[in-house]
Amino acid sequence: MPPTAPVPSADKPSISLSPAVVMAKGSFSQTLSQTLTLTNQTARDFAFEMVAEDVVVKDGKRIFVAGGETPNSIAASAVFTQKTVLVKPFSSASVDVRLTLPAETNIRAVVAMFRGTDKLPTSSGAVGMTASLGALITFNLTDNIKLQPEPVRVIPVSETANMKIAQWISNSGTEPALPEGAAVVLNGNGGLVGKTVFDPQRLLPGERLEFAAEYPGDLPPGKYRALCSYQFEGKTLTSEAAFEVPKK
Amino acid sequence: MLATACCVAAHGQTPGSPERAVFARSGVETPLSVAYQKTVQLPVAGATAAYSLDPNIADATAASGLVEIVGKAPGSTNIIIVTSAGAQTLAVTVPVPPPILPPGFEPPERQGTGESGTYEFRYNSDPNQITNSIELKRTQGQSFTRMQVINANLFSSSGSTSAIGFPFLAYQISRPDRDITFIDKNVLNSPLTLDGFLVRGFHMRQGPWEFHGGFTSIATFQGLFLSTDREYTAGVTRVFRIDDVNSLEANAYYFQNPDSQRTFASNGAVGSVVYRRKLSDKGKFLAELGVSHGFGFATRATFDDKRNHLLGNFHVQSRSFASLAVNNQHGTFADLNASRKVTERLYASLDLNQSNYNLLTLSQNTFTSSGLLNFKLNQHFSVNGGGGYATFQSKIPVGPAITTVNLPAGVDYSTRHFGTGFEYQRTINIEGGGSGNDYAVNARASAGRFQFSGFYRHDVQVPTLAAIFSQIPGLQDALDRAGIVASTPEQLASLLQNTAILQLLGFTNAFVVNLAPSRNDLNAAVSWVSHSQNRRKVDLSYFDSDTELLQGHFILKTATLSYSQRLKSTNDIVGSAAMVQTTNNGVTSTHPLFSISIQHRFYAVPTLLLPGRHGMIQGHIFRDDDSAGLYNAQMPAMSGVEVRLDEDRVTRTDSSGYYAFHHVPFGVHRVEAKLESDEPFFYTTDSPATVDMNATADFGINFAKGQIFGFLLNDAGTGINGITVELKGEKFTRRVQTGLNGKFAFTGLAPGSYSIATLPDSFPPGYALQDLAAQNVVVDPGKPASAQFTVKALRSIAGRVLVYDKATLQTVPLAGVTVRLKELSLEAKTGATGAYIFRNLAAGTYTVAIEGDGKEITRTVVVPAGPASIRDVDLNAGTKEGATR
Repeated sequence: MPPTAPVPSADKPSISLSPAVVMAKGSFSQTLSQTLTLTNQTARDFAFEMVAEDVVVKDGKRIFVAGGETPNSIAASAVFTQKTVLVKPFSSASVDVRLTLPAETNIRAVVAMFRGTDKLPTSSGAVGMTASLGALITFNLTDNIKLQPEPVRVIPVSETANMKIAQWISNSGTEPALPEGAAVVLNGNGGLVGKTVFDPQRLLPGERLEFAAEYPGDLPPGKYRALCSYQFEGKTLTSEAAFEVPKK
Repeated sequence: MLATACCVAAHGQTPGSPERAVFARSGVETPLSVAYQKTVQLPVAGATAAYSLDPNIADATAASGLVEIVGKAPGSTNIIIVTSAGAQTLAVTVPVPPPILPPGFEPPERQGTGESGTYEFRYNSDPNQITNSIELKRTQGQSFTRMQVINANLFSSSGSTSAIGFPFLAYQISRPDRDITFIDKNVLNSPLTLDGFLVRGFHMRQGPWEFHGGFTSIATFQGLFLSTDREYTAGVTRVFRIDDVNSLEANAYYFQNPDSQRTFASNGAVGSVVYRRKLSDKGKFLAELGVSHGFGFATRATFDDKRNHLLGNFHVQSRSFASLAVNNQHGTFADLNASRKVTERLYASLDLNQSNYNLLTLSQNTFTSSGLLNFKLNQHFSVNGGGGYATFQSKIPVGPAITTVNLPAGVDYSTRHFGTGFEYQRTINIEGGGSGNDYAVNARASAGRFQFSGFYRHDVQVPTLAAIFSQIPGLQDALDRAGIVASTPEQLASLLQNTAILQLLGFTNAFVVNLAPSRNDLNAAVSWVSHSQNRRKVDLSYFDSDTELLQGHFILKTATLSYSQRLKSTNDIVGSAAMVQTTNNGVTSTHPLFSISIQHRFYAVPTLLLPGRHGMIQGHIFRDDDSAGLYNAQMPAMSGVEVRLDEDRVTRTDSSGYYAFHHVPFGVHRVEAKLESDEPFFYTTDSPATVDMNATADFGINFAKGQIFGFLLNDAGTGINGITVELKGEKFTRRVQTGLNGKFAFTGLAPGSYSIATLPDSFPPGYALQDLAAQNVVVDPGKPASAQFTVKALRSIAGRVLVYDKATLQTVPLAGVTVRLKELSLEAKTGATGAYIFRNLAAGTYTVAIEGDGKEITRTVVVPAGPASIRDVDLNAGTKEGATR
């Protein structure tokens, strides 16, 4: 797809990719087509090559693996409408990527990347760098969505920090999940005295992340309970922990 | 402040087994539906707290066992309700609120189906008639098929009308390049040929050609169908498109009128040329020059933008110019209507009209002109003023000449719920009568669901028609209510133009225009509209008109009550009852009028009446080894592959990879290739694909190739860059070079066994190459295989042990000294030159040490990961007397 006509902009120089995240639902052996648009709001040309890499979780962390180096790779099936793309200043360019899900695969995420091919000028003597941007594409292919919560932790308020309610959650299923939820504080009578929300975080299969939220208020001495609740893919998860604020 | 906190294990659910949202309390359906911006209260025993997991969709609170949930935005979320027994989850859905649509708009789910229709049953008491109208339409893209039937059953028929008739029958098949209409069509061809006449026959457009043939026996007037004798016509048009905005048309038509109309209209052929021009999307222009038994010329122009409006017509046609008899436009006619928003406050308008009828039994000249300025003083007040000039003269039949000048002025006040205005007009009759003052007041108001309006108007020297209407029952009433109330020159001109057709058709006798000394009109109306979905509406109006004639008075009083409502989402009913009383020179006549109409809307049409279009979907399935995503005939075909259409129909590709589905209905379809293969593959085109009828859907398949990737590392685990790696297969050899991290990859490999080796020549110095061996790697279909090579890097530390000779005052080598490499517990004796060396070292940090002058002398050496021959690691053993042993 050819770059669109230049559009002058008063914004700060930037390069952006849209969409940054695609959450797809489907079934094995299907194809997914997605248009990726890169917008160049700088005064110079940028050249990119299009690559796809599988996203796998190893030791709880995400790593990118070149297409085909993992059995039943999804990235190996990536077909881009353009292999390379040049984005002129203050313009945008769109590239379609088509991915085929193998008949069976454990992979649930792919990154489709605009990989920069030219060095950007830096201060003299510094190491040159390139700009690469990628869109994360996740796939939900089965109903096997399981989240494994760990105990709720309440970190007390200190001279330098608010009270923090935190919980590690790991994805023990085979599908990605995007839990969103809230943490509440209940008094001894079960009444709600405080509420805060967790920032949504995407959990790929095998991934483990901490969900934490701060409670900025002061609690009078007494016994309390902290409840952490999440919803994801039509399911809910609630955990709780008791804690006490002692008298001074 | 918070001293300690106690963390306990989570409970309330089984870790790792989250459940779908359920709510234990019986009697509550889940998910609970909470309307947008509405609140639902839910008694839950023991509820102490409640919170939402997405407060943007719904929020929740709880107190004293009562949970309150508020719908805030369309969507779904979960509410956690805390009780003494634990936390319960309640799924909540906030549905999208139903759209509030203005009357006449349909909800979105009914749009886009492509099928629509209406049916109307109507009964009128005067004339005593039942009318059935049905219109069905099936739209498929740019094509459509339409059927229209209007059936009229006249219970009190006269000799000139049939009791049961079909005033309109049409079946139209329209495609982008062709349009065929059977039976009736309202033909708008050109001003000098067919200009809005209902022609019963056959109509066709094919590319640039257009044909109309048949007869007209119906004239329409004020919504009434009036029967006439048959007037035949046939003609053809050829369009010559010059460019996107300009075109020419050539017309050839023939007209044949019944003998009874020969005195009004000539038979014969007409040839004309039409030039059309589009003025962007704001207007258009037309000019037509025609030849028959004389000449004719017509032009039309329209233009509209944000500030200006223009509509102009000019038409001249000789008396013997051939035409249908219902076309009474023989003579010269011109009219212009223009307005302009001069400023944000000033609005100007101008109207001109010239009509010169030139018929055997009718010769009349009319000219009217008026100009008006409206100035907005502020948000509520505006004033207007202007002038008008009108003349009317009838030679056949002979009538009085009338010339008037009007000078109107007025003021208006308007707010949202109230408005009123006062208009004054000085009327000066130069010919035909005296002068006088006209005035009118009007007012409107609204309160809640009620709207009120009314006016009182006093006119002097009012033009009135004296005519006798005969054949059609109800025509007199229709004209009384619709046409006879002419109080301005413009209305008079329009009235004359419209009613001339009636005289030509024989429905009226010849008429003359008189001036009534004065007329007083009074109107009052009230309406009520419900805000409910059934849209009830009640209108009540009263009209009283008292015209002072030269002899006596003509008084018209009507009171009308009408009611309408939507019965269901697809049915409407409208009913009205009116009482009409006329008093003419003391003779009073009163009669009631009733009408009722039931309307039904269709969103599906029967296929039997309007069959839909069908076509085919076809394509190829091919091997796309290069992932090009586009089919060409040279690509290897894939036969026997299953293809599914809409999960309903199944076929397989033939030996050329071709498949086809026939008799596919119009619309969007889902086509999917279903390849069964043990070998991994991927599609290089969309599968499933979404295509329209008559589209091609090709599917490219690329079988996933295997690949071998690996690393070439030194014994320290560091990648070796730039080394050539060679892969040997049964029929080919390929070479690649390692990257910065020592990585290499061979892609696109067929299943099989391969030999991989590094080429010694490509190594830089410093590696032990004697043990380079090839590796055999097996590639399974579509799966990666890996290989790793490790090459020993050669690393050594060398130096000398020296001592200062006091005798010669020089530093001299010291032989036979033991040098130790402490980390590896290695020892070496210095030679005659004092030199030592440690070889075959691994990367790391080492300490080289000797004993000298009774103490240990050391040096630290860092051996890198790559090949390294570190020299000149010299050690000073002190003076010769105290030399090391």
